[in-house]
Amino acid sequence: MDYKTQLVIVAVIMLLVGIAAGYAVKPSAPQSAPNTTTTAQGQQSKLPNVIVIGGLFPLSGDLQTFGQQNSLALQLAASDINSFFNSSGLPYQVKVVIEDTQTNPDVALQKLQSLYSQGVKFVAGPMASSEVKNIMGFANSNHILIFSPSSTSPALAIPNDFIFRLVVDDRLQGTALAQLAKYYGLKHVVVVWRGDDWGDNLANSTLSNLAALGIDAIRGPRYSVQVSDYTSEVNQLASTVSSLVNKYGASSVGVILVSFEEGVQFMDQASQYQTLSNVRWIGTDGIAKSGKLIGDPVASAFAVKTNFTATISGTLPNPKYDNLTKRFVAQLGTEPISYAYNTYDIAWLLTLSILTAGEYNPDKVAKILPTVASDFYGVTGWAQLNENGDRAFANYFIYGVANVQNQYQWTYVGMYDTATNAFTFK
Amino acid sequence: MPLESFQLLLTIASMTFIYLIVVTSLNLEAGFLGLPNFGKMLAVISGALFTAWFSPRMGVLLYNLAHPGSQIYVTDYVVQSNSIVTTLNPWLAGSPFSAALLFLITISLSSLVGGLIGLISVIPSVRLREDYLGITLLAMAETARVIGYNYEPIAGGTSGVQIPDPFFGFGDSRYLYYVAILAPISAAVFLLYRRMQNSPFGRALKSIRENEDAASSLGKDIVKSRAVTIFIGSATAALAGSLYAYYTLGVIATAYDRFSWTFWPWVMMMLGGMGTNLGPLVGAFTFVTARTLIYTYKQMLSSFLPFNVVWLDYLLLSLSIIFILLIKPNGLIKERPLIFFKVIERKGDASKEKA
Repeated sequence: MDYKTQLVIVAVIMLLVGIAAGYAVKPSAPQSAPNTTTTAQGQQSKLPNVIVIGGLFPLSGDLQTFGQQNSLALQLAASDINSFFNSSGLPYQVKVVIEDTQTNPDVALQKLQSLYSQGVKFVAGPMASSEVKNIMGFANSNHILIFSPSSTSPALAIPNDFIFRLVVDDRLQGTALAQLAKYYGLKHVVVVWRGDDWGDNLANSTLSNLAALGIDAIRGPRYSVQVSDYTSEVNQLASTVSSLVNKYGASSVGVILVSFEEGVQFMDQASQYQTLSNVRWIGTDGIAKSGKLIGDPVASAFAVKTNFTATISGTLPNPKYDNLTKRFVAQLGTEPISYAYNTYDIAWLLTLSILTAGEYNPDKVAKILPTVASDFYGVTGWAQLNENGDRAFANYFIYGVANVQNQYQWTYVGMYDTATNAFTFK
Repeated sequence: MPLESFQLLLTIASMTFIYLIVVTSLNLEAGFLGLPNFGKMLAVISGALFTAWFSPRMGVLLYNLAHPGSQIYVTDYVVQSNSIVTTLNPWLAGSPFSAALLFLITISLSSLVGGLIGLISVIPSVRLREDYLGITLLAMAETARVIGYNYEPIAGGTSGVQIPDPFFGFGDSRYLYYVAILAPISAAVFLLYRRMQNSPFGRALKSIRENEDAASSLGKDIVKSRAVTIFIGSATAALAGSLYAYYTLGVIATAYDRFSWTFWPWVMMMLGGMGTNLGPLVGAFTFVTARTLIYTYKQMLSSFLPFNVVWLDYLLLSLSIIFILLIKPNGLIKERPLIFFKVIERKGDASKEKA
């Protein structure tokens, strides 16, 4: 290919891309009128007959199982909403368009752009805070309303933006954990945590809440999420705990383990240290009700010996919740994580807000969504949002491990209500 | 017409421009010099991390927010990231000169820092054989990502940070204007590289790629050529990293993985044609266009498929690439020995003259 031909090809490609960009930069023409609907009162509604809600979930990658559960939750919600429209004689239908973010922030942005180019302006998801962080700028600039069921990073608690989260941020669980330590009479608490976004935020929140309650909060080892051997970290923890026990006695010393299910391996290794078996351990929602823990006899025995209890946010029993659980079990063969229930409520909240606004318009919906949420009681309970557009309150259930007839199982211990700052024990 | 109608074009344009810069630099290193840079991500993430660290600090300095009497008293750039950005953005919108200064100085310094980090990364391994050097660069890139993810003061660690938006004043049209600014930057990079690759320097790189011993015997300094190429390539890729950070308006280390910023640029380069001037442009444009169209229109196939269409993303993309490479195994643009052709032409001319 000679030089001139190459130049022509360059010119043509740059011209095409330039035309695309230039055409886009020119002032926009007035928006075309959407399909309108005539209401029973004879008024013209600006709402299209088909309300499209996007879904950004990790259908592959590290959080694949959770993504599939949330995807199903969104589809079940759409089915229920459409049944409601049919039975009410309303001329609307909800359509969901689900994309796979692969638990990758870069892919999440590409998929959001893809949804936006299809005209989707309301999105349930993404799940990970890193994904929300990467799409936030694009969503805010283009007025796309994002409603995450599971992003808990306090760094994303920002008022007056287009990012909403139907989950409390990690600061509330930090409060719950610190209050629990105080309730158990602990005076010196070592916090051990996994080194990722969730772990860092929850550990920092727990440490600051412990300190605020007058408890000696000690930063223990922060372990890498990419390793499965915790010999060094457990040894370091044992050394710290040993010196505290020698000084203050075992009854006033405790360990808070901020982990996912890798905490089972951590407890396995910790069980080899007598000092660590003599103090109380507290866990988080990453390990609460873990089947892996009660399936591991060494870790379970250690949990019983250390009076291990773990907190997890949840919903007070209600018929809606039970009914949805049955449908999940029928389709998946197992109960989903709590975030899937949030996704179900997100679909209802978005639809009700769009209906209330009377337009498929994120600017209007973002303004009225907190009001709609404050009057909404879904499968996850009261959906009150705070000034940052995040769920304001949650109940944290406390579970412990018990040996019942030679079988380890999780047992309900009590509940912590963040709205009233009170414990209720069984 | 609503803006979202143009989103498809904007997505293709913006990602083509950003990837064009990365692929052009990779083509110089791998296509022209024969240096298998499996750590391309290193330079990209260096540029992004520097932007995350420097941009808020410069904004605070320009707006004078680092004293107790200012609108917000900035003491921690990570914890206060959101409030810094929400304070700076409206001010930048009303101060176009400061916004332009912030943008230009940040991307320039990011590029310089990226070049230096690239240079430092090859110092221990620049004398190694290509494959060892490639593996070393891969390890260096992963190290940078791990540091960015775990060391909070640079870019917020696991939580990431937001960066001030110099284009905030454009309001809802922000992304449109940003793409319009990306276009001349990537065009300038492309044309500068083209000029460099056609110069004696570019020919020297190709001679080293073909036969190091022969090139060395003719006085070409192999180590120096590698170091200079890595510096130029890394500085250019770091520029892309900085531009991508301004595109997303936030930096978190996990957004810069080897799949997106090493593997895909390699695919684009091979698709376009390694060692050619035009290859990076054709490769980046073809790949980004194919990917965006597949992402956007795969839903149309949902009624014909017995499985979820989300699984089609990689399937269709891979098939498209394999199909192109089967037809054009050397890439869409084939490298030609231009100098050799000139010699033949001269001989032909001489024989004509004799006749």
